[in-house]
Parts: sequence; C-alpha cells; structure tokens
Amino acid sequence: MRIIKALLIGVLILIGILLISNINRGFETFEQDKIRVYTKVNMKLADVVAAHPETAVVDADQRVPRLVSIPYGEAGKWLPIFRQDKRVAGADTIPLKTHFSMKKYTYEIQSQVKQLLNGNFGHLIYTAYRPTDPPREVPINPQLGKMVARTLSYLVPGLALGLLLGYALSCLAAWKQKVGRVLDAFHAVLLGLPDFFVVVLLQMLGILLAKAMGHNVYNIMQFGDEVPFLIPFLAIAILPGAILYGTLRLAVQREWDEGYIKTAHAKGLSRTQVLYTHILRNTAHDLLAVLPRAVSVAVTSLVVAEVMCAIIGLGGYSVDRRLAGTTALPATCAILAAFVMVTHLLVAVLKRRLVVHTKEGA
Amino acid sequence: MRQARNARILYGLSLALFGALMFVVFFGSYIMPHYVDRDHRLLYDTVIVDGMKRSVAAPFPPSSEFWLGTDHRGYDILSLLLNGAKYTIGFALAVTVLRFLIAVPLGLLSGATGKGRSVLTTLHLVTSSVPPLLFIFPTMYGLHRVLPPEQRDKILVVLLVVFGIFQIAHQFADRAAHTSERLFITAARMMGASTRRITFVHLWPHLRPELLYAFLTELVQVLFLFGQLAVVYVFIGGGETFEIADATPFSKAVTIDLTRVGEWGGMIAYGTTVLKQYPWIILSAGTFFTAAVLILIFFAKQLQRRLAEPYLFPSRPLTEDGPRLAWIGVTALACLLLLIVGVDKKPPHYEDGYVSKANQTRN
Repeated sequence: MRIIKALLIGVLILIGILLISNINRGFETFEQDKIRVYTKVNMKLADVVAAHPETAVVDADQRVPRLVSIPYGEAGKWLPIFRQDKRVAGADTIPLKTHFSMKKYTYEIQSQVKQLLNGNFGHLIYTAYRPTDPPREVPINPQLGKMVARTLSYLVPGLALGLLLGYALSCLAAWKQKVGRVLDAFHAVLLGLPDFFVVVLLQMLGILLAKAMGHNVYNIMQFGDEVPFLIPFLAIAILPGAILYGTLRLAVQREWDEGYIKTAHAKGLSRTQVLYTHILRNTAHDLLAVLPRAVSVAVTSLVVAEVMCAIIGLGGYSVDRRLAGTTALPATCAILAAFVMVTHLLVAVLKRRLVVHTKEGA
Repeated sequence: MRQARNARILYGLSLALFGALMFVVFFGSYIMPHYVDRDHRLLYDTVIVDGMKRSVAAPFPPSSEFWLGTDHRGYDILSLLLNGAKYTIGFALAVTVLRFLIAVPLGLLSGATGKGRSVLTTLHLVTSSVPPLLFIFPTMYGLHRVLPPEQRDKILVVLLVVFGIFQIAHQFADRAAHTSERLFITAARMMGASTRRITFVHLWPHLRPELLYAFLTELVQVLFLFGQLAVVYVFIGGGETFEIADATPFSKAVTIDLTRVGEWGGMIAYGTTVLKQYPWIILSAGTFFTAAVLILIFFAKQLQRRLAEPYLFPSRPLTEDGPRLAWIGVTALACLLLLIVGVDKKPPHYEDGYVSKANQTRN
C-alpha cells in the first residue's frame, strides 16, 4: 500500500511539472486554426486550397478571400507549404490579443505527452550566427545522455562527501567539545549562506588563486570540453553537509551521552568500536529522516552551480548565452525531480531495513 | 546568571540588527548616497594611462565616490541596493504573509476537525519532495516569451505562494491535532463549542507564540528561493535592456537586463552574468542578500530561545520600562526627522521599452 502511495505521489509530481511548466503554451498570440494567404494576381485561393484536402477557404463570400482554415495548432506546418506554392504571394498567421486558451493548453499538453512517449524530449534552439538567419533547432536527445552523465559526475560524489562530512564532523564535535563549539558556529553561518553566494565565493577564490599563482588552479566556468568539477562538487557537498551536520550533531550527542555508551567503554570497547557498532547504527534513523531534504538542497545547489559555471548539464544548459530558447526544460526538470524521488524511495526502503523499531507491543 | 546575561545580550543584538534591516527596508531611498536617474549617472570617466588621457566607460570599480562601484548604466550600486531592499524584503514579506493567511486557518481547521488531513498530507508530500525551483523555473522560463513583466510577476506570486502553503498548513495541522487532544478542548467540545470557536478561541492562543518564529523561518526560505530564482534570471519587476555592444552584419546586439529599482534578485541576476569582468557587482548584491538572511536567521534563533526560555528574559510592561520607552521614542523621532528633513532619492519611473546603450551621449 505504501509503495502504491509513493508511486502515486511520484506520478503526481511528474504530472504537476508537465502541467505547470507548459502553462506558457496555453497562451494564444495568433489564430490556431486559420491563416491568411495572399494569392498572386489572377490566381484564385480556392484553386490553391483544392490541392490540400485538410484545408478550406473560410471567407469564400468575400470579394477577395484570404482566410484559410487549417487543422488546429498546425500553422507552423502549413505556412511554409503555402509560401512555397508558386501561386501564393505570401502567407501569415492572424494575430490575436494574448490570452489563455484552455483548448490550446489541452492540445499542447497532448502533443507534448505524445512527443515524450515517442522518446522526443524537446529541442535546443540556438541563436543563429548572423542576425538575418533563423535560429537553429537541435533535438536534445543526442545530448541528453552526456548531460545526465556530466550532472551525475559531481552530484553523486558531492552528496557522498556531504554525507561523509556531516557524519564525521558531528562525531568529532561530540568527541571534542571545543572543536564542537567552533563547528557549531561555522555551521550556523553556513546555513545562512545562500547557495549562489557559496558558488560566487568559490569562483572568486579560483580567480584570486589563479592571479596569485600565475596559472589556472581550477576551472570556474565551462570552456569547450573543460568542465569545472571542483565548484559544483563543493557547492553540492557544503550545504547538504551542513544540514546533515545539524541533525546528526544532536543525534550523535544524544547517543554519546547515553548510559549504554559508557557501559560499552567500561567493558573495554575502543572509541572506534563504539562509533561503528553503536552510534552509527542508532543514529541511522535521524540520518534517514533528514536525507531527503539534503538531496533536495543538493539538487537546487546543482542547478545554481551549473548556471553560474555555465555548465551544459541538466540544470544549467537552459541559460546558456548561445541559446535563444529551449522546449526541453520540462523534461530535464522532470529527470532531476525523478532523481530526488528515487532517493526518497531508497531512503524509505533503507528505513524499513536498517532502523530498529523499539515500539512496545500491546 | 551569566547564561541569562549572555542570552539577553544576544537577543538585544539580534533585535538591533533586525531593526537596522527594517530601517534600510523602510528608509533605504532616504539614505542613498547618490540619485539613481539619467541625470546623475556616470557613464564615462577619464583616466590617465601611460601619461595619456583615456576615456573609460562604466561600470567602474569601487572608489571613494562609489563605495560599491557602478553598473553598466553608471548608477551607484550601493544606492541601487539600498533602494532595492524594500522591493526584495517587501515582496518576500508579502509572499510569506499570503502563505500564512491561507495556510494557518487551513491547517488549524484540518487539525482540529481531522477533515482533509490526508489530502493536505499528500499535497504537502507532492510540493515538498521536490525543490520548488524545479516547478517554478520552467514555468517562468516559458512565460518569459508570452507575457509582459507585470503579468509574469502575478503568476510568480501565485506559484511562490502555492508551493509554500501546504508545508505550513501541514505543520499547523499537526500542532492543532496535538493540542486538540488536550482536556480543555474536549471540555469545550462537550460544552457545545463550535469547531470555529474551538479553532480560533481555544487552539489559536496556544499556537500564536510559535507563529512569529515560523513566520521568520518561512521568510528566510522565501528569500533563499528568490536567490535561486535570480540566478536563473527570474526576478520581480523586470527591468530595462542595456545594449553592451551594437548589432553588426555578423552578430546580434549584446544586451543584458538590468533592474531599474535595484531589486536584489535583479542585481544578483545581473552580477552573475558579468561575474568574471566586474566581480564587485555580484559580491555587493550577494553580501547584502546574505547579510539580510543571516540577520533574519539570527533574530529567529534568538526569538525562539526567548519563547522557549522566558525565565531568562525578565521584562516589565512597556509603560513601566523607561529605557525601552526611551529607545523606542528616540528611534521613532529619528525616523520622523529623516522623513521631514531627508530627501527621497527613489529612481523615477521611465517609460517601457527604453533601451539604453553603452555608447550614448556623455552626461
């Protein structure tokens, strides 16, 4: 039952992303089922339209008919067809005052679902080199594998480092009280740092180091195939690490002060043994409770770091200066959301397996 | 004794910092060192390089005249940031207030009656399992092409409010459900009190102390979200387009969007675009933003302590507390004096569609 509920929530989230991120497609700026076609002198619109059974003349009663009905939402397909006809002087859309149309929204959502089911995740629209040229549309599919691999190359290690740091430092803080106080103060400041500012500080440090040493120490932006690793890696590790530290610090301290730990010490167990056999195990519940939030923060930091380092990854490609636009954003955001949801599911499974339930029976 | 003294000092410090932040929010445009309009900008300056006079264009780095430097239009960044505080913090406050106005009654009623709890929990799970950035960014990205800034701002407000409601409602529903199990609520119910009365007369006073802390924490979350959205060029109020380089037969004009009023999100978006060339812009905007967040977190933390350990903070009623009354009086008088004597330097409203250029006539 719980698995079905989790899957239902996952599906709801994906549907939510699809519906919300496509709201813009519901706005009509021109007629969706009509276009205006100008014929050359002595040419009749009815003759031009006769070649295309899906179309018809709308204003046949007018002295000079101009309006042609087309299948809904297919202006992009029919305009070039009419423009290429030698009997036609020009063809254009019919402008409308921008308004939201439920019909267009439904049509666009249906089209997008069909596209996604066919494995088409959208396009990247590149600005043309010359101002007179039209933008170039490139499908994202061939790039998607590389983008996912690039994003995961620092997301997974960053999260792992954050987890490790959170655990290690919370144990250290419980073990050495003075170090703990310093770490607590540092943690309070870190929690107040917005993720973009962490990335800015790391970038500034990179620039200063490069100036001081006379050569590049680490990349602060993507240049060709040279993708920055350190900045996204650290940005992903630092904030989730701080969140994990905050929770685990309390949990480890709580366990550290327990009587059974003192008994374990008295029985001759070393600090390392106590840590592995008792504390790590008994704080697993706290870790698993906070892990989903840490993953969400990591994904947000990932998007911010990729944007600021101009990395063509799942989170950062859309604000690339060379891009005039993209239609793939809902799909890539859904992939990131799916990553978050998979980790939630893993955490739920781990909770069932690892956490020792101590609830008393009736 | 020492613990109580430290607690009081820290609380006083956090209150002073919070007051300073609010002062900047309300009177930022009065303490701006420079005007932010086309008559007072510094687009060009003359510098001597190798004994030769050279004309250099804005942006200029920090100097004794412009403490935080200038932007591409030649406007003082410190003035822009001081003026922008009311827009950023004000907008974040508005979003947080709207979230609470909807979520708290919803949560209290659901918690007190048990009705709609499962729906609320499901919606809470849906909106909190995935970062709101992944919902809001693609939506605003798509709307950028079809809607003007004013309409986009309205949709942004709706999205920001909707994605925060369920978490707060769920939190208050939990607290209300917990308090509803107490004896005095059962007694009130047995005496025939209506659900509305139980919720707003009996439950509400018990949850009120938590409200301020929860509000401040939520405000910080909203500000964090603003920062993330700014990085992906989503910020309130739109801006003006500035042309850095003219179009040529081989390339389009290079333009950047700049905020007119100094809204911090707009400044962050602009600063990230030119980070490598003009780092002082993002550093200034980021520092202001981070300082505001840290002040709010610090104040929230001290407030939480005050609520949790009231015995550490013995206080008299305001009318009997002379020093406190004096402080409030002096502050109010200083603010009033600033309003009367000070000059409001807020930027004028320029017509839409204006595109400023780097190679404009010198002022």
